[in-house]
Amino acid sequence: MRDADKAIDKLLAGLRDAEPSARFEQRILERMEAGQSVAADSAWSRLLLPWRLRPAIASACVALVALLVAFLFVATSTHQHRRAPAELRDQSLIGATPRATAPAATAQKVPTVNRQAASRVSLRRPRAYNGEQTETASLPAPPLPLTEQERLLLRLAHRHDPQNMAILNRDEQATQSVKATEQFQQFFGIKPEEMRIEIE
Amino acid sequence: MASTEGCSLALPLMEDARPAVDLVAMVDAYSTLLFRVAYSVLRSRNEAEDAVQDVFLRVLQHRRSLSTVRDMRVWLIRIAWNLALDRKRRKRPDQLDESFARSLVSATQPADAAIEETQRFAAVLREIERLPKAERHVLLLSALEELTTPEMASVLGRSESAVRALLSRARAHLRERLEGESHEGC
Repeated sequence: MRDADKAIDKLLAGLRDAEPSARFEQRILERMEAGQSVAADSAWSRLLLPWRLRPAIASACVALVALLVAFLFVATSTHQHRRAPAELRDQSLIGATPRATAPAATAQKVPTVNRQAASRVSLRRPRAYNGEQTETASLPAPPLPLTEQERLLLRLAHRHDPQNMAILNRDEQATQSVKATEQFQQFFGIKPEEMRIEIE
Repeated sequence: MASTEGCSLALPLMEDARPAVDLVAMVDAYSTLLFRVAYSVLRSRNEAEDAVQDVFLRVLQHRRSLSTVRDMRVWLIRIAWNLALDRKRRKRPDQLDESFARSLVSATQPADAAIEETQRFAAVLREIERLPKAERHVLLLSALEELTTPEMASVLGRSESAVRALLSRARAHLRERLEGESHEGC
């Protein structure tokens, strides 16, 4: 037991009495000084890092701006492509009414299905148009045939009645009025003077 | 202790408005103690010196927060202790213990007696390494005799009573194992 304790104590004393080599503290201070200069270098490099990265940052900014411009260009052109069919559709709707009222339009006989198909084509076609066509402010819509109902309405609304047409012309109206008075007098045999007295 | 007079280490602590910590004085005061702490774990002079240099480099890195350290001595010992343990993990224990055991034997002894004593110290070191970690750490720190029980407790992150109990158990275990080994040898 004593031997064991003695061995343990001697070993622990050996650990306790260990001495560092000569100039140990000096070496520590030198290493600290070296470490300090390295730290200072790293601090400077941290400060200068933005300067070193400046070309890279500038090129990244340029690329970003280019991307932004390209995106805006694509977005604008896409928007114009989307707007063009809508404008065409509006123009076709607006242009269809006066043509439908035109007498010449009544002569065209095209099935209704074809008209819808034509309108569909007019909506889809702008992508296939050439440059000149797309650059024009308004593209005339193709002539559309009238439906059966439209043709019936036209027949009812327009009879070429001379009386109705005369309403629009004052001279014609006055002439017709004189003719009608004469016909009345001739039919009833009344003179103009008598007629005036009766009225009074 | 080597003299550090005339050393012109321009420490960046002087740049701060806070009360400066004199690192040169700190090296003077604590380097030997830290060396022994590291040596108790590593049992190699070169390795222990490197560990102490690393300690002071850490101090240099954390120089701005030095004024907030309450107990500088314990703080430094804890750094040295942890760095030494890190270094030891990278080394084979037998590699260091052989030379340390030889260094403990007196040069004036006869060769056969010296070999026997060297083997004896190697066995003690081997049994120390086989102790539970907590007991081993307390035993090695107690070997320094420069640390009080509260300081050891603070370094190891344990209570004072736990440190005392661990130390007592470590000695008892070590003694039992060494005696058992010597009986087997007979």
